[in-house]
Amino acid sequence: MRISDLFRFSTDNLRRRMGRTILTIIGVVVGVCAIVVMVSLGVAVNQATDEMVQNWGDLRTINVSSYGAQPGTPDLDDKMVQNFKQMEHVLAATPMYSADGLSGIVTTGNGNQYANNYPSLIGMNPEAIPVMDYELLAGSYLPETPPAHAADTIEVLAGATAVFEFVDTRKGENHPNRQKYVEFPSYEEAGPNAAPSNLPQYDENNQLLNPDDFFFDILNSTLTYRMNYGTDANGQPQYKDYTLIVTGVVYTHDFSMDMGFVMSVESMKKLEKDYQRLSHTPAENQTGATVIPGSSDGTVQVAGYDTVYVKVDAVENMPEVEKAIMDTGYQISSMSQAREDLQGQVAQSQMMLGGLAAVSLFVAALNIANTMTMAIYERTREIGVMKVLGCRLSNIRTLFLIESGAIGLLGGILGVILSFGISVALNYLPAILAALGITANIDLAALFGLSGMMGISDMKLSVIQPWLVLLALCFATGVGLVSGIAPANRAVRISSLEAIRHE
Amino acid sequence: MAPIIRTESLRKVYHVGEEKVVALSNIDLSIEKGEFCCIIGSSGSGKSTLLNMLAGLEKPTKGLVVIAGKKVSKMDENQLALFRQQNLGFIFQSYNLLPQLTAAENVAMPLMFHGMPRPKRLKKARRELEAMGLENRENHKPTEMSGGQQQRVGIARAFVSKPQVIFADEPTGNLDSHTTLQVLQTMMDRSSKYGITFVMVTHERELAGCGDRIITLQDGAIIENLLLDEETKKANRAELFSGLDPMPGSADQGEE
Ligand SMILES: Nc1ncnc2c1ncn2[C@@H]1O[C@H](COP(=O)(O)OP(=O)(O)O)[C@@H](O)[C@H]1O
Ligand SMILES: [Mg+2]
Repeated sequence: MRISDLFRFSTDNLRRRMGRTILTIIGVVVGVCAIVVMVSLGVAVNQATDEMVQNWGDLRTINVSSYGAQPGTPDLDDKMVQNFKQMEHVLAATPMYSADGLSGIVTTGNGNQYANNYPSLIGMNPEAIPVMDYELLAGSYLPETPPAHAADTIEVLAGATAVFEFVDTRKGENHPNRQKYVEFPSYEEAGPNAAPSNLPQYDENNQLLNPDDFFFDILNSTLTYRMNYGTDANGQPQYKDYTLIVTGVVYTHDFSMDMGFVMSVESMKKLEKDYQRLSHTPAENQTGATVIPGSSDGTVQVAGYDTVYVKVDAVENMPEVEKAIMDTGYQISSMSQAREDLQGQVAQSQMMLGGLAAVSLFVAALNIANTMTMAIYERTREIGVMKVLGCRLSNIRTLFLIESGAIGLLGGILGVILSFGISVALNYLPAILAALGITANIDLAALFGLSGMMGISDMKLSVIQPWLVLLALCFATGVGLVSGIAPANRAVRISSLEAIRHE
Repeated sequence: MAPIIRTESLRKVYHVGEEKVVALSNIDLSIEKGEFCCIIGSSGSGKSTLLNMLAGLEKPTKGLVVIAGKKVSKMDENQLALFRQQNLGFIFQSYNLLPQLTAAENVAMPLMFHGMPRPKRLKKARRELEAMGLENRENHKPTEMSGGQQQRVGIARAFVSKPQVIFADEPTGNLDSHTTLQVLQTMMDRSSKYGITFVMVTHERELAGCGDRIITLQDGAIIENLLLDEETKKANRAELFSGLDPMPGSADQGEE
């Protein structure tokens, strides 16, 4: 038989049993719909997690910690930082060093009018800074080798919002204008990843374009770091002053970094040494590991830096580098690892929900098989006649497979259409409820076992992507075909003689 | 010339529980090309069994069936399907038309199985229906036609592919006597026109008398194999068809 005839013959037969065909198709529609909607929920959660993780920060940075290391792990020192740097796919490695016990304030202006009383100072390797995706708003990055200048002068990079950490000391504690604040654009317009709207803006000559937003121009001011190393006999605090030269302003996209200052590790170590000398604190020349009190898993804290950042060239190489560092014995954390954990969790829940939905599709499959078997019983005689008149066995099998496949495909198409409807309804549900005056917070994340997830308020509940449509259609057709196999084989086995004999 | 149908010591035994039923024993027969052959006998004598085995619908317990030089009894189902498409036609007592198809589509069915394009095969089917005097019924469903009309559709279906052999098991069994004669005449005219060998089972001796050969069965054995001479045939036919008007459209249509 020709293919066109096979299709015409099959669809004629489906049309003949319209009522039963429709009922069977409805079964498939329900099954397909259940699966598509379940998967679409998972896709939506995954998109939301991705968005959330991007808010957290950079996906290509690995955070290596001195805590939680395996016994026997080497110190997290400069040598190890060099080792990391030489690994394949690693662009840069730097300690994130802040000296213990150091205390002081940063001031500027006439008579030290403006002060940051709790400055955050971090020491990094200068050559690693440009690689860390720290965006230079003005000036230049730290020089890799410090220029010759007075001993107590230190080059620093100011974070983009560091200027907002200063208070006007001439105004009282409760004065409304004592401090200027970071402002963000409205969430609705700018979304979750928006930059503050009042970051310092500079022209190519490093001239501040929006001076009214700040007390002073942090790039072109002289800052003083006043280190407090103790008290004298009269109980007066003792200070040592350093001049901070701001070489540039960087926007790090990490709010804790943005509000502080970055200097070279060398500078940080000099501050630390001075502090120890002046305050008569003995230097800790400790090497080797210490067992962390209370750690039950036998991990230790190694000596050296607390934290080292390793920058990887591409997200897909993260697992490889992460594994290499973990094999050295260190505990690491990274956004991409966190994302994988989240996605794993979502995938697991998705499998479970999908499994539930699959049950309904399985029922639909039984339905199809039943419908086809009935059709074959009813048409035993016809099938016999067709065989006697020279219809090939393969044609008979194909006829019935087309019928069952068509039921699956039709069910799939209608199921996908219905799913789109449900998906839209789900996504508008909060809005609809709000319009009705009902405030309901649909916590989809909880459904996927992600508690207390993110403040992503415009998160979609259901996302149906083209691949899901295609998959659903193939799957539904496949289910139809598979359910048709046994009935079709039964049709093939019908004895033509028996069929035409029963009168 | 070699006979178109030949059997060698054909035997069929059915097992019903412990019991053995010998439906056919030791059938040797030959039917020449173009013959109109009637198989007669009382009910249960094995007529249908013989016809079914000739047509390859049933495997013999022993023996051989050869049609047009092919050992039909040795073919598997797929070979048989192809062989039937090309060489055999069937007419059933209960017509066995497909209810969802029109008369023309029913007639065209064997050609569809053969893979002929739809317009071409429907054209052939319509011509065949015209020859049967059913030119107004082409688009009717079987349920919209009388028994005689349905059987004529069934006959058109057997003839449409111009097979070598047509088998018919009591084709007039469900028809009244007048219609029976009309249908029989049509079958004889069409088969002789195209030189088709026709094997018909009937239990009515008078009908068999107008064929070329009468094979009489009793208890599964041939008790008579009679080749009629022209005189007898003419006399028989004249007598049988005496009261019958020539069927509309049964005359030559000048096809092919
Ligand atoms: N499928 C079968 N199973 C058992 N016995 C059968 C079967 N078919 C036919 N017979 C027996 O074979 C004999 C011949 O039957 P059949 O050829 O149908 O006779 P006829 O067509 O001449 O009436 C009968 O005795 C019948 O009971
Ligand atoms: Mg019989």
